[in-house]
Amino acid sequence: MDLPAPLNVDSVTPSGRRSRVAQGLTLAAAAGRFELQECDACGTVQYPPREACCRCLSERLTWKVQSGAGDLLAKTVLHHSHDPYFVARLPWYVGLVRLDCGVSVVVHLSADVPKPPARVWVGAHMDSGGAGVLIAFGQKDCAGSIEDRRLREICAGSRDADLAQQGQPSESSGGSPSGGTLR
Amino acid sequence: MKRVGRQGYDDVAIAIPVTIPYVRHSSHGAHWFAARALAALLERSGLEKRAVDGLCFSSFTAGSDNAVAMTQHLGVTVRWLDHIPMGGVSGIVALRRALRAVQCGDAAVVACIAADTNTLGSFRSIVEDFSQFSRDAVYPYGAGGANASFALLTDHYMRTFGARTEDFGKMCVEQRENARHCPFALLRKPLTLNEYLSARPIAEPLRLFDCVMPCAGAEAFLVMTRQRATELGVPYAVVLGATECHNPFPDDPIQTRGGWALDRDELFAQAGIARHQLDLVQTYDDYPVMSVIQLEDLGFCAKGEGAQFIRSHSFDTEGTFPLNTCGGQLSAGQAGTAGGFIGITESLRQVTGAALGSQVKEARFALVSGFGMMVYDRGLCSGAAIIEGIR
Repeated sequence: MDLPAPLNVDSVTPSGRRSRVAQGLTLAAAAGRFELQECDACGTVQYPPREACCRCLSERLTWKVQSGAGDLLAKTVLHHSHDPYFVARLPWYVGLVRLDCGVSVVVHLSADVPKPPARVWVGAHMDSGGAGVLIAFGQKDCAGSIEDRRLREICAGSRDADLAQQGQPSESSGGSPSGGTLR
Repeated sequence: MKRVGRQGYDDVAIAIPVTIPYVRHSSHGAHWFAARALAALLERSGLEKRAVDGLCFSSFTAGSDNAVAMTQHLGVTVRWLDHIPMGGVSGIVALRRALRAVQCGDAAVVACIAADTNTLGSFRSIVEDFSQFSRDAVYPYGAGGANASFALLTDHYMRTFGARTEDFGKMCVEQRENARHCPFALLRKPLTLNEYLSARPIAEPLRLFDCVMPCAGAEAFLVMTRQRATELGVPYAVVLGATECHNPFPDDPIQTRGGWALDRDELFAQAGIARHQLDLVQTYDDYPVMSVIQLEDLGFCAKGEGAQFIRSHSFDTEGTFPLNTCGGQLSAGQAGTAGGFIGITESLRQVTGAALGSQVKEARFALVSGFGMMVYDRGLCSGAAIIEGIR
């Protein structure tokens, strides 16, 4: 499948805008890990990222590695988008996954994911806008071998993740957490 | 969540339903629509501007201007002021706040106004910066906005409860029939089921006519004592019961219900009437699935039986269940937060015999429901009110 040509400069990379508290996901993704906030006091896992535990209000939150296993509850195929990056790449596949750790996550859906309800595995990857994003796959251990061409393109920086996992320095600035793209 | 002793709103009236006609796009600011709304409230009530001593304001597009700034823009001096930035539940919440203010004597006349503009391109920034969660965890995933979020809920609802596209279609087609004579509805042309089913996909399973159309406009009403309304000689309604609830079921993996499911018994108990006594219902219909969820949670049918309910009822003004009698937002358009007011103004017109379009015969009792704020994956705010027209 051929990808359409980008419409304009805005459509070259997805939005890298995130709040400060969400940067933990990106930092972990840059190192090839999928981490979510866990409360040191009560153990609650939460998402989206917050400043305090949504159950006990503790401020002691630690980013911890998650298995990513979960159930795909719903899926949509977007034929419309508000963002130039995605407008140039429609249709786009999005899902809602209930992770086994008890949070619901909106994700990019890999082409290999069957129709819901289905078992899926979610991983965190660097996108080319310099932010960590969540992608659901139909099989376990898909990190680093993204087959879906659209997702391979959005994760142009995922090479960094592979390198980081092997303990090598990153060469590209596109997906680096120190690349100034974390706003 | 069970509460005892919700007090009534016995001596308080709501009156003067105002709709500033909707337009798809406008170069005017939200303030223009707010000013037109206040001018209409004054003109139709016969009140002087200085008689309005309370203001309740809602808008997504007034920029950094909240209700305080609006007092200077509109040139009103008020002793009671509230800003309700709660999207589709703004109308119900504004109503609840204003009722108590007047009942307790903190204000004599409260103007409740929701005004929003829609300029080309303004919608993208609303979508991206709708909330911190939206920016961090929704917008980066295709930036589909509310269409995408409701597509996920619709996909899940249909599979879980066996609702069919045709069921939602029947509801949309019959609602559109109600819009035929409504002068401010942007979509008035009759819609056939075939047109509904063959419309282009927006966010599967949602097609074009499942998605509310963003537009510019304003809705407004006045809250005052019944005595004042009588003196002014304006038709009015009283509020028999009203509830609101925020973040009701945080542990649900995906939204299939809203706060009405917690509040409905108290709502009808406070109102002192039964469901069968209602003459019409206005759900918050930004997407058909939400109307269905509201009908279930408000107790008109059991959870999961919404599709069957649609099949066994007709929703026009002469039907077995008059619903969204001006065509709802799916026909009128969604003028931002005014979408949270349209059910109130339309109900007020219906129960005072002053419908702009099709009138439900001898309508006396109406239920209005509000829903709003998809901060992340679900709408957090719900509210409902039951009103009775006094003729």
